[in-house]
Amino acid sequence: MSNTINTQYWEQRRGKILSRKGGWELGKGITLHGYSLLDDLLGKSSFFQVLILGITGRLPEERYAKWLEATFICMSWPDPRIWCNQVSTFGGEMRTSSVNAIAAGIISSESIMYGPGVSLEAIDFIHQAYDFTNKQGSVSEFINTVATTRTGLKAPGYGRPIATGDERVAAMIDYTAALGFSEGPYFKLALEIEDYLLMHHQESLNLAGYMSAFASDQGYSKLEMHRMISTCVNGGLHSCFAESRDQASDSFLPLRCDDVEYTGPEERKIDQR
Amino acid sequence: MTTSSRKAPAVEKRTAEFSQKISTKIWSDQPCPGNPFVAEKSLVHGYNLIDIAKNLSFSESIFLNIKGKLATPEQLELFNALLSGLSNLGPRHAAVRAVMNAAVSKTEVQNLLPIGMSIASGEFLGAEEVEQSVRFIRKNINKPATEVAGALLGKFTADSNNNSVIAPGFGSRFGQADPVCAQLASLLLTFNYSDRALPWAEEFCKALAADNFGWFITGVAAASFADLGFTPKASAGLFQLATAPGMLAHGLEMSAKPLTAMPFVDDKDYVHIGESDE
Repeated sequence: MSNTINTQYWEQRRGKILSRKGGWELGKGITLHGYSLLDDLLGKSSFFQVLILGITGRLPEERYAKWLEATFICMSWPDPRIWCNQVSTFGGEMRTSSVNAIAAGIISSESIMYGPGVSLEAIDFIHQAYDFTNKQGSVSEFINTVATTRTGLKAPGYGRPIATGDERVAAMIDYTAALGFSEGPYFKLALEIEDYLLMHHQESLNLAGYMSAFASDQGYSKLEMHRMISTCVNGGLHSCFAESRDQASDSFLPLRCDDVEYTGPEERKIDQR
Repeated sequence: MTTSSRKAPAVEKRTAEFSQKISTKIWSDQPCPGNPFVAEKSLVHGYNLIDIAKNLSFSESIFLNIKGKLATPEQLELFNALLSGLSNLGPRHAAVRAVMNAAVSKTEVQNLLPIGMSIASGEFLGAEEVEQSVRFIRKNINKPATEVAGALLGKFTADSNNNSVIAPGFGSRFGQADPVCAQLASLLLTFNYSDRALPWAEEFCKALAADNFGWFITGVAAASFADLGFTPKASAGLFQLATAPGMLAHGLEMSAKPLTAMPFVDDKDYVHIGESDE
């Protein structure tokens, strides 16, 4: 059978890299989507502009990069009770390298409950709502039909663990205005949905929902947005790792044996198979 | 923005009650007299850790940890063969390649396994695919395999890179079914405990064979884990655990070699293409 398989596609790629992004040409320099990294971007663009360029292929306005950077600041909580931060804290306890602790914290933040993991569903939700309210019906009809399942309200981008309300949204709205952005249709819809959910479910727009709506208004796709915020918890992880790494080992929330409740079987012998 | 006058919703703590202590049915520490922070005896699912070390193989202890009970001889025979079959995915698997690349560039050795397992989390030939594959098998196992295969073939369209996934854990790579995966599946089918998922998946692959589809390593793992009664989520993690030895071995091999021991694509073979050139 193997003699008849057409392997041309893979043969063309053996030992060869095809790149749309750019790369390093020895003696000539590094290019990224047609820009020279050291001549065109260094000193002229911010890190976040370069980050977005690498992800999307489009060099964004400086103010959009500032907006994205502000969302990272919103996620930079130095509080080790936040789950991903606590992961990096344990890295400090274990004396891992900062790279390991931060990498572990970032992986932890890929959650369906908080962090960048939420953004995919939040973007789908606002797009779904946008299509529905443009073609089929009102916000209330959307919430009561599409967003209400057998198990209750399912509205990614609204509500969050631990607390109701999200102080970061109001701060970002103010900063976005200061950057000179105007309101787009996804953002307006996000607020309409919030009004309805506040009235009927006591849930409000969260940061992921706000970011999803705003990025959609700026023309970014779901995957582009998700990629942009993959490391958004970075700041808080560093704070928490540094704090625990600079303290004595075994000093963060030490547990006595009886702090762990055992609910398994009584002690038994191996031969009891 | 016109929202500047908008009243921000109040931030209030939810009423959810968090546990006051960690609870587990897996582990028990019995404290030393006089120091509650140090254990003098530790139990895993009721078995003394020292007895486990004395009496159980590593694979038996994995089974105990995840399932909460000791494996029967029949289960252990299948589990051992599967773990051994998965122990090295080979240096052409992306997760192993990732480890080798990191190792040859002198990444700290303690980072090699996290790197490999992280890349092996993927939904193509990785842990995510194993989880999806167990769900796929569980969902369809009461239907005739040929019927399921026919329905999938009827609506199948190849993806752009020609690596065709017909269902999680099953498909073709480089234009054909993987014969080594089929050999491993055949071996595992000879064990007494391969009674449901593995035979069903084998029938499924036979029905796909004329179209050059067959087992992926993830499908072999998924069917075996399903027969052993592991959940989809446990199966994903076990796949990462089982494939770790090969990752470590290839990484250690490369870490002892110079940077030049692996190819570095020459400039002439690094082709800048436009958005629509490929």
